[in-house]
Amino acid sequence: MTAGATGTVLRVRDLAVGVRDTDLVLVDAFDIARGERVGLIGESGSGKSLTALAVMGLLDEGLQVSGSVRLAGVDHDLVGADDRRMARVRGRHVAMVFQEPMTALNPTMRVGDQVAETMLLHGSRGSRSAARSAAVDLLRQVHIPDPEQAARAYPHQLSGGQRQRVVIAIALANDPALLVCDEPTTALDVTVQAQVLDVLVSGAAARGAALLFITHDLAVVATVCQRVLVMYGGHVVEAGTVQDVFTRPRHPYTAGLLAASDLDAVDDRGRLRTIAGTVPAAGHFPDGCVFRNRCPNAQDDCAVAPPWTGPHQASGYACHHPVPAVAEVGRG
Amino acid sequence: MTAALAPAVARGWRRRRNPSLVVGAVLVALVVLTALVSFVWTPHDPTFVEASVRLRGPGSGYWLGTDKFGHDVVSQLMVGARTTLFVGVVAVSVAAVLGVPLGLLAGMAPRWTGELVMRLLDLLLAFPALLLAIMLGAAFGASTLTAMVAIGIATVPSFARITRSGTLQVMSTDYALAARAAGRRPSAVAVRHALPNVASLVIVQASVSFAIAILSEAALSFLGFGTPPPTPSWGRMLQESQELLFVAPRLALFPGIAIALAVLGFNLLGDGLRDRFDPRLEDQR
Amino acid sequence: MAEPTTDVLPAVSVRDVTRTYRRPRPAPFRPAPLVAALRGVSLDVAPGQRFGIVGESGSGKSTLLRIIAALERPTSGTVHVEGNDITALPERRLRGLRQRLQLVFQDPMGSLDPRMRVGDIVAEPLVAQGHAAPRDRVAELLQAVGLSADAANRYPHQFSGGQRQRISIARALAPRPHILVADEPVSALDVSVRAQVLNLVADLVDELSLTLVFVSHDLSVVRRVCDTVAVMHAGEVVETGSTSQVYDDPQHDYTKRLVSSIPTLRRALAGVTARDLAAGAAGEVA
Repeated sequence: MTAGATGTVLRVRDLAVGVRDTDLVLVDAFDIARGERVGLIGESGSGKSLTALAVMGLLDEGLQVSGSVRLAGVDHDLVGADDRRMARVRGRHVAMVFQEPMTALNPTMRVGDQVAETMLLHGSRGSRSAARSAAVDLLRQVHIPDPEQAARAYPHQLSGGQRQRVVIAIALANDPALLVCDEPTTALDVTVQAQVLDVLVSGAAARGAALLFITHDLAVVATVCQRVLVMYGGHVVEAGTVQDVFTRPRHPYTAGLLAASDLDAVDDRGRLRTIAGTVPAAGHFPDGCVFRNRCPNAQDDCAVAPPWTGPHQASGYACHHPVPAVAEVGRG
Repeated sequence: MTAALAPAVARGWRRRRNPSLVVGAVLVALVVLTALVSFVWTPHDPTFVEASVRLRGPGSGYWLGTDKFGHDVVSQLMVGARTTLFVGVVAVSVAAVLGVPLGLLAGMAPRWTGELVMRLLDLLLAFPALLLAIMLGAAFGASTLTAMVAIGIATVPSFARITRSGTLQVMSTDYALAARAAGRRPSAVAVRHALPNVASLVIVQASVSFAIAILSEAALSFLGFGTPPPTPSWGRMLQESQELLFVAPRLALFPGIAIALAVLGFNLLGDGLRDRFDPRLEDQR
Repeated sequence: MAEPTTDVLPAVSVRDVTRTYRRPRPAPFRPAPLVAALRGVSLDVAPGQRFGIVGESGSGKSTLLRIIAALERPTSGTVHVEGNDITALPERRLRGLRQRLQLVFQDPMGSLDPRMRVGDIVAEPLVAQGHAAPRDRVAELLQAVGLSADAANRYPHQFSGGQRQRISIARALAPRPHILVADEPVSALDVSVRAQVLNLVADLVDELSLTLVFVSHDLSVVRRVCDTVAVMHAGEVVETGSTSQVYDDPQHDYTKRLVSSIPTLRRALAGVTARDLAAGAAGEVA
């Protein structure tokens, strides 16, 4: 694959994750270009975190994975690669920021050493002392006050926001081409979230790293990302630029999600808009269109899986009865 | 969150067979069955002394031979299984009946009371179980019951400890707080919420302690502080075979194997139960 | 100390409440450091009011909530619930309070005992207060929160997050309380479910004419549900007022920073970036 030449960092094709006879994720295709920030949104059980873990090769062993995940600069497919090969890729070409910074850090190791270790591991710094001073530099770049002092601290001595900055520093340590962020600010306070998002975006931009940003918070995605993929029931149901998808959603699920998250908009009875029903458990989504049992537009033909409508994989939707293109939902 | 959910989902699907649980359960069932059968049938009277058949080798009349008194080894092993189960049940019951309430108390009481209870139990833990059994035996006369009460008392701290840590965990949950907000008294929270949630831990501890009790009884009988004659006991069979170790090693071998299998069975059962309970606990959380 | 001058008795009245915790000693013979979680908080919640308490972690909002619910004692100060001083009552005399004031917790999984059936969970406040728990009362409560009556026979893990929060709300309503205290009831829920639960809370508060105390870190959620809000920061109430006023025209410096760091769809689509939010959070309001 010549992903690097075309400016594509990540290329996912026919990705399927399943357990026994149940499909949990079925993603046809998506690409991420160099330096691009792409949001992956959906509710619990939509398959968004499984997709991210599949990209990292971190799925539980009991899950079956097929398809293709190619990363620029890596000469093999990430699907089916063994742990030893993946260990060379993870932290070097692709890095991850988790939701819970406390569990992502080793509690018995000074944070400076943890940042330095990532660099030593992949040989991006020759000596221990060079890695140490580079680690302090990185901590400064993610706006940790007094980085020399902080480098000698243990994770429990830092606040939640500072821990997440350390995790980001570790993720950025080897200038990866892709940064996968799974709900990186969900556990943080609003004011801290704003600062951590800023550090994340500017840190990635400074390195030309692409972001795959997973969250259920539409406002955060809209603030951070340029493009967005909407997932439901393991499928990408809509994709496009943030501006398009969030102002002119075509898939009824996207429209419902936007309406439900808009706390300023109410219906005629003064109530918040909701999506009917609840997300089914894995394996209990309907055949055909996965959203049809909750969809206001559903008709009989929805029992057949809807084809992708749109110029390409990066823009379009999968729905037989889309929301009319003119309606502006979610702007109350 | 999906990330947290997915492994749980996968676990649910992969409720794979648990070999140690199966093997442990089979071995334990074998011991129980043997003990039950011994009530209605044994090849010979296990306590009948028949001088003419002393130290027979294994053969058609006596499958595993006879000992120096002419006791049939198979019959002795079968009735000995009763003793073995009896000691396990007594020791574990004593330990659980004392240890679980103490653990609950230590877990829900104000911090200093809990600490005090635990330090006192630590004191008990510092006392070797066998020594305690020998002391009790000397004071009240050697019998299976005294030996097992002693082993049970010595095992109280481990039950209390495990119950306390489980209780502390439950007490720090929101549902314990919710119960208090609903107007439950602390004791009711302990009984209604903590107890059911630590039950699985206690069951695992019980099966491991059962194995330890069996070993202790064997050791005590071997030393002469356990089950007095004529009641057959695997430990005393070992002791009686001692002087004949070079003449008839089989007399040490058979009770040895029986003890090893029973202990292995209860240990595997404990391990298996732990594996069986832990993932389900996580699933439900 | 100003007593409320209105002739209506406040549903909840908090006066000069402080709470200090003792940290573990850093060394054997050094004094244990004190941490002030609340530094003199006073507020009044009128009957029928929907009162929001907003703050970030460490602001003291959770401590205040526990003190109002008599799950914790203040170091000094008093809390009156419907005229009764609950800070002076011993645990065994709190039965009346437990009936008048009920709680909904943040984590809908953690606040339900995984080994109890839903019916027993919902009936717990009734049983704890010595009432019999008739099956039809449990069924009625489950239906009030949008669950079917046969949910009573199942276990919490068989429900989704939103449904579990409904169970938690049903339990809170069981003793027919006058005051409902909700601690971040929707922050663990998905967006679409969040809207359902917020609607449910609003409906129930209306139908049962409850007084609502709603604690959250999310000012936009509080604005939706509450008419009045108190903003807490570092153990103090820094600003109180009607929610729309506080949200649209914050006065205190901290409230301004809080409001300007909230990401919203509308502002993001208008071009507000993470850098702008961070600048707002740092107090550099444009």
